[in-house]
Amino acid sequence: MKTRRYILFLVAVAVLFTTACEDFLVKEPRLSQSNELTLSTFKGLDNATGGVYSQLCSYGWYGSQFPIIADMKGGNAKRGSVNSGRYTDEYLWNNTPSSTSALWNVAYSTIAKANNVLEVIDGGFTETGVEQADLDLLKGECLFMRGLAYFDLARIYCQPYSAGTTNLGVPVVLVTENGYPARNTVGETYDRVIEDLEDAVSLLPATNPRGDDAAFATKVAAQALLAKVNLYMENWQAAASYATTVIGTAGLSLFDTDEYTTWDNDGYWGSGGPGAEIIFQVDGSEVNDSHPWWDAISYMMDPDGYGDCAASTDVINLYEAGDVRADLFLQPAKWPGEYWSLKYPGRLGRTPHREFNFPVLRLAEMYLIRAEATLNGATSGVAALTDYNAIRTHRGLTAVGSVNLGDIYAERRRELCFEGNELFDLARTQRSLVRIDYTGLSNKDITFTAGGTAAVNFRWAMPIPQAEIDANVNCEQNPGY
Amino acid sequence: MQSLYFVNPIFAMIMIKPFTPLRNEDGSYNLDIPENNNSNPRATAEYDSQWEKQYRLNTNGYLEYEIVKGLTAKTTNSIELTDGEGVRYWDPQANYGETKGYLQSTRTRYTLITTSNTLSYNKEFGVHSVSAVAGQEASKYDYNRYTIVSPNVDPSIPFPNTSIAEDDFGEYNETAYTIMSFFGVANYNYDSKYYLQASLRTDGSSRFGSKNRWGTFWSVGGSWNIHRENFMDNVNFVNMLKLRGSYGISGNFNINDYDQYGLYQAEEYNGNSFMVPYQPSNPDIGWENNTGYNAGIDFALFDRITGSFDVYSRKTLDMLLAYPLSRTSGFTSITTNIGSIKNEGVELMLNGTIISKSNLEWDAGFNISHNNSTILDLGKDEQFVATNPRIVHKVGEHLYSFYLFDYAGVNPANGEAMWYNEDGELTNQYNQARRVIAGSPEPKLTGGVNTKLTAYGISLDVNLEYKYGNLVCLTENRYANSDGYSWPNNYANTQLDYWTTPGQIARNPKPLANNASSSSSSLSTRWLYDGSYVRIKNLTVSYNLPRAVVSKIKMQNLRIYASAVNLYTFHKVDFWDPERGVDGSGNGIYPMTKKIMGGIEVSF
Repeated sequence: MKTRRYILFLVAVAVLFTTACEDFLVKEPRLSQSNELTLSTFKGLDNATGGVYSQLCSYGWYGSQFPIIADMKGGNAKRGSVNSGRYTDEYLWNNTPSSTSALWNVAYSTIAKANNVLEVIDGGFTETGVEQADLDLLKGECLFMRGLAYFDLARIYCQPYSAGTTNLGVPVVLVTENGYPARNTVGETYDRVIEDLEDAVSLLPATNPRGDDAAFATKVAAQALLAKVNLYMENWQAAASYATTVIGTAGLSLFDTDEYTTWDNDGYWGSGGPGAEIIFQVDGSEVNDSHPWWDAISYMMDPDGYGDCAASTDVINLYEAGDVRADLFLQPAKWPGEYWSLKYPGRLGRTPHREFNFPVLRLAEMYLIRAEATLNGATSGVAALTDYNAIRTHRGLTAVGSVNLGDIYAERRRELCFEGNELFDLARTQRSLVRIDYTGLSNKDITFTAGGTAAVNFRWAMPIPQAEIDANVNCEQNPGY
Repeated sequence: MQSLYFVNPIFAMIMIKPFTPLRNEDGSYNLDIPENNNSNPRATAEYDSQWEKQYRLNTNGYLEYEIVKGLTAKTTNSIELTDGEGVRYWDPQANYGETKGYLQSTRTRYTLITTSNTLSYNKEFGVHSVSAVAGQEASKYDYNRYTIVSPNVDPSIPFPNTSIAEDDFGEYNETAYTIMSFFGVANYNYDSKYYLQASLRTDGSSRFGSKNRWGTFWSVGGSWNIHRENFMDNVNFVNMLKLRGSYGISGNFNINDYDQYGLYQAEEYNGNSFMVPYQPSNPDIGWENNTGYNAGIDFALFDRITGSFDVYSRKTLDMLLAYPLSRTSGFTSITTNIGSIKNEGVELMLNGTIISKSNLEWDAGFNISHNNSTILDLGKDEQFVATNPRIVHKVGEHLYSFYLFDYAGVNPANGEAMWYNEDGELTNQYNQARRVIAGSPEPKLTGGVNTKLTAYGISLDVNLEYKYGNLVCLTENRYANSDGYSWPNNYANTQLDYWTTPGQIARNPKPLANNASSSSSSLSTRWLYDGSYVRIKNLTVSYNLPRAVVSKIKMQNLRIYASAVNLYTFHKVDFWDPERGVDGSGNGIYPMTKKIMGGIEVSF
């Protein structure tokens, strides 16, 4: 009897344990949140949309590598006496699939984030108290960011649109999944950029409720990006029209000569707050989780930092006397004859210079886009010379009497150097790279053989990262690598 | 800190030029060292700190009750508590351009609570002996860490107190898992000659989703003490002879705590806390299973020789591996059950007393093992590149194979670096090099040798360790053998043999400042070496004073010794140490510490 009672007791204990087991064996992370929970409430979608911006300041994108690649490979920057070994392959045009741009990872991560939100909103998301305008904002932001990501991917990893729309583009992925997507064509990639940005224009409000410091997408930011993308596609009329819209937007004006050489205490370009020229910019605060820390663009352009990205005298020599833009170069006594751009001076009182604000889109470029489009046949009601002189007179120079495309290209270089444009400007206009101030032994000049897909120099498209080729059987490497 | 990190003295040694001054003229450390990112490891060692102290407390209590004779119920309950405090500090005297200190102070806590409840039964009937245990066990593990980051502290008081409150920020991290098991084990032996064992268990882990949370495992085994048989009574030279064998299936849940969940986590941008995807969802992830057998023999002969010999074969199914994803998924890899692998091997151990006299004794022994891994299946893939891009997993090959671009040395005609292309022809274009499976970091043989010789109180004790037949990829060599690519850095003496004249057979290509040939690429067979080695792991010479002398000075024993650890390594690599991890790779790994010590041991 006694034994049986014990056995009964033990059975009862065992039953109790087994029923409690399943609960005991559920340990969910408390510091993160499931996909389902994040994407099922408006609050969650709003936070997930904000998260789409978070990697803009990362190493692979505007925080360092993307603009530095464009200036290093474009001849604006050079590898001088101060260097940490970074950006050597870019300077020498020596990139391989295992040493190529890191944009692939951050851009596709950004696209995946945007796709997650878009899938829910397009699936008919509703929540009591949530207005259509609230959802339109999130959708517009995601589309803007997806468009920007595809545009930048195409600029780094593809031959320019002008060299042929049937060249290899990048995989256009609109639904996030663990798949093996093949590459679309350059034409299809740019079509996606245009469609996303046009949709974003119709959805985005004039100001973004997340903040008024131009760090979040607005209607005018999408319009400005459309002006630039259409310029790359040589849709001259559309480029000019969008530029005109942006130039006419209230609140935007060109920096005067004082503002152009001023950064406020928070590192904003201009006399205070986000400058009147800035349409869309990236916040480079150190506390951002994706901040590249020592690799920050501001540290790369600081001779007391890593300093790998010095200025070539090819750029310095472009400035006429009186041009206020020539004042934005540092010539330290310690390194005679060498220059560094002062466009990323850090934030006041905070050294080393790891913090920055990066101008992705600003008004001066809109004038230059419209001038170039007009010279190529677009009608905008404003003469190319008027736009060209508008820039000159705001930079301490006098108006001139004539302008041609070569002047516009040189002006883009004077105005936009160290903002990540020169390589892409050379490529889209199919001009070769010619370097005079160069410290390497080979690859000094890089020809761009215009006119035919086959004849295009493979080096103008950077290799796809080896890790993607290894993981995605359908992803074709660029020819030549 | 064993990574490519400029304050790692091992890496700094490769980077810093020998004529770069250690100190400035005023005696302070020189921090203007552009070839090493302005890091001076001597200054780091003196001024920066990094440490963690842990305090551990284990409590353990049990209650046992014999219900009837032979049947015992027992509950064992324990708590393990570890409390740790840690500091990482960067001082301005060791960090270029800084005027304030940067401090991270952490507090960590681990707890492991375990309950184990068993019912055991023992019974002997004459020559039969039976025992059985049935039970249940559950554990709960929690870890958390609080960190205060103080970016601007006063270097003379490097504590959070001297930082401006606005600059400080806190971080919190935690992780937890639970595991629950039910098990039964039965043992039988007959007359201490024949032993049989069988076990069955089921384990549930919080790391797996509800579908595959539980795994069921079992084993059977037996052994035979041959030397106890009657027919062995007259075989005097055999002291012990035992045959063993087992077969079974076991499980592995060695993944991160929350790998099954698709998660978003907070990320700060522009003064906001947003949500970003953190890891992909994998609700189907489950136990990795290992199934296999082991057979062995243990023996002792002639009162002098002991040894054992084992053979085994183990098949791993549903391996838990990080599987690389296309970046278009938004992630770089997913932890998942994929494929299967087989491990087979033999192990032999032999120890003997060669001489045994009153004033002269010599013992020697060795062990040797051979293991061979073969990937049997990788799901839908034939191969995939591991998260370490030097390594590929390929069906039919070892678990780890090097996957590198095929470097072909120097062109004697012009001094250019060459590679083999897909057609096996030579090319000077790195972009056209073929990527080949270039061997494996898996050794063919591993083991050790030991010997001890004692004569008249003096003894010499030597332990050797060896590995044979593995390749290692010493990628660090690319920095000091860059053929001019990293021209501001230091260079290794191996670079001195470089090409200068047509027709010359040189070890290194023609050096060029800003070399653009990719000759020093990190994914190159150029950095592969035969990783075989023999290491003198321990060498001790000691002298025991004769008992008669010792007892006069009222001591029990007095021993004088000198000992060396990792005294010397025989190897073939152009580096200070050939040893690497299982994947034969790694960066900035500290070499084995060499220790030479001496002492006197006294007992009263």
